[in-house]
Amino acid sequence: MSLVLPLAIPWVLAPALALVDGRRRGVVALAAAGLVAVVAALAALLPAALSGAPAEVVTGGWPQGIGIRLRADALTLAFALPTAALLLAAMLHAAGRPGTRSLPALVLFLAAGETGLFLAGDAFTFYVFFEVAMAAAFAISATGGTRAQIRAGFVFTVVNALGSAVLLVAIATIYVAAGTLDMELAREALHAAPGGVRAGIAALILVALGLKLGLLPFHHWVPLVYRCALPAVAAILAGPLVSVATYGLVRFGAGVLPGELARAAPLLAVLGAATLLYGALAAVTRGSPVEALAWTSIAEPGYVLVALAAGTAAGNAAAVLYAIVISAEKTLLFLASGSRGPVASASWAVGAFSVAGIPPTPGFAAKLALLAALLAAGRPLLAGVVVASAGMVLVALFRTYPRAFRGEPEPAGARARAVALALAAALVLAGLVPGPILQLSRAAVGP
Amino acid sequence: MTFLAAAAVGAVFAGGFALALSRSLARIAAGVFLFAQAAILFIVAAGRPGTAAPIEPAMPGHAADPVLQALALTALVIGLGQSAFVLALAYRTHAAHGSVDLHPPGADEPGSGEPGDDAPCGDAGRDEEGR
Repeated sequence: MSLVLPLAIPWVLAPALALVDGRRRGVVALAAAGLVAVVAALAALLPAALSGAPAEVVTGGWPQGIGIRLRADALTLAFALPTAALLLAAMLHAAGRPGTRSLPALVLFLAAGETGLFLAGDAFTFYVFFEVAMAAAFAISATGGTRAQIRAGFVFTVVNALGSAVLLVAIATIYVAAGTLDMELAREALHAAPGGVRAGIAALILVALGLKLGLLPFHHWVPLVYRCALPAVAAILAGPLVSVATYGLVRFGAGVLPGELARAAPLLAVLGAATLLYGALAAVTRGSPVEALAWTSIAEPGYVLVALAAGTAAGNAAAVLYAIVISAEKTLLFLASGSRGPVASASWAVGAFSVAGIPPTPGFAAKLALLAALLAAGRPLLAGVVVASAGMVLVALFRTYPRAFRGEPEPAGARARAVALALAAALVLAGLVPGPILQLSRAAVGP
Repeated sequence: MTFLAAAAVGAVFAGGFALALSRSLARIAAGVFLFAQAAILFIVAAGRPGTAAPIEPAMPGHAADPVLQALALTALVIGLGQSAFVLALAYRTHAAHGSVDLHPPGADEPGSGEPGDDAPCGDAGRDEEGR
């Protein structure tokens, strides 16, 4: 029951809230309470996950491999907890604005889909919840009502629908090659599958998730979609939705196809490094703060790829840590960039420091873990690329900084500024006391 | 038979992708439908089509694979919802821009590159109801 709770809460609340006007404060408060309850229900699963006996349930009491399995291990919770919290922040930021009548319900649907895909223990359940989350994300991406936003939503929907079809082919191939859809059982069974089939599955998953993340060379749609989006919409696209794809890379890469992950390490290293450098360079050339942020959103998943390319447990832990940290940073940066004044600029500065890896932010801990893992794995060149990209991104962000926050803070945006400030404070806290997230990321890729 | 099935799946994927690369909103939507259907065709073709229906207890390998049929049905339903939304968005985009072109003239003007200068997003065209 406790495992189903974080799924059931948004699942029941979302259709109810879809019937009412989401711009009203009562509705927003109810949605926020629902998301807080999801975070609490997920946090209640943490002790079991960290102690090595994760909560698990197979629907209907069927044996594993026949029934649908939900499990809350450390990797799941490492992604699910921050994602739910970031969705809460983004929803509170945007609530009440024109064009957001269905936003609280959509965010709850997105939370249901995301929590479900993190909890899913077999590949097809992952796919179904992934589609639920994407359906909500399609609607969220067009939120706001201006024609540029509607067009951005169309582009986002088309690109991600194509990616979903590729992911479906990959998951069906996992079943055909392994005879089972369960992730744990498939990992064992795939050892016996032909190498070409395994490589094909891995390639298809990389393409599908790369399209979703905006990795090189699938990045062209990202600036178009981010350019005119509401700050909270851009935050949701760049934060929680990116963590869906990075989770997929870690779960299917290190979890289901570890051999292919090791074999693909050179490709991942090249792709990751190219994304990092190209995204950072392009960000430097942008004039508008939102476009610079969009290009850094393209670049940042490159860190996760580079960490996976290291091929060690420390590298995988760094990948998990980086995935969580970049989604939090990006959410903060986009939320803060929607306001003016000293509070917003201070919140934004915290996010920018985290992106650059300056203490006391979690970006510093993540970068340290990544550089340590890369150097220990004997990849000094990749470590150099990481440092160079971070420097360029810092330049890109602070180049747009002076004029971006000039002016008086708009009075109606007090709640938005408060949300950004709270998120910045949470990031600073995580940066001052990085122990828990480090422990969680190591447990996520544990034995 | 397998080669024919693979060729058919490849052809539908290629057709869908080629359509999705065009400039017209309607063609892009059609391309997305085809691409999703090609994935479902792949699933069906992988499930030993043409063999006996998996109703009687038969020897494995002598009946079609029911799990893949279930996957295909689920994917069809998901694709239906997705397609409906793609169509709705295509219609709204057309209505908002007045053009079936994905890049109508004037919609993509770049900013001047100066810090603080935003590429125009055009608040003109906001919905009356603010939905």
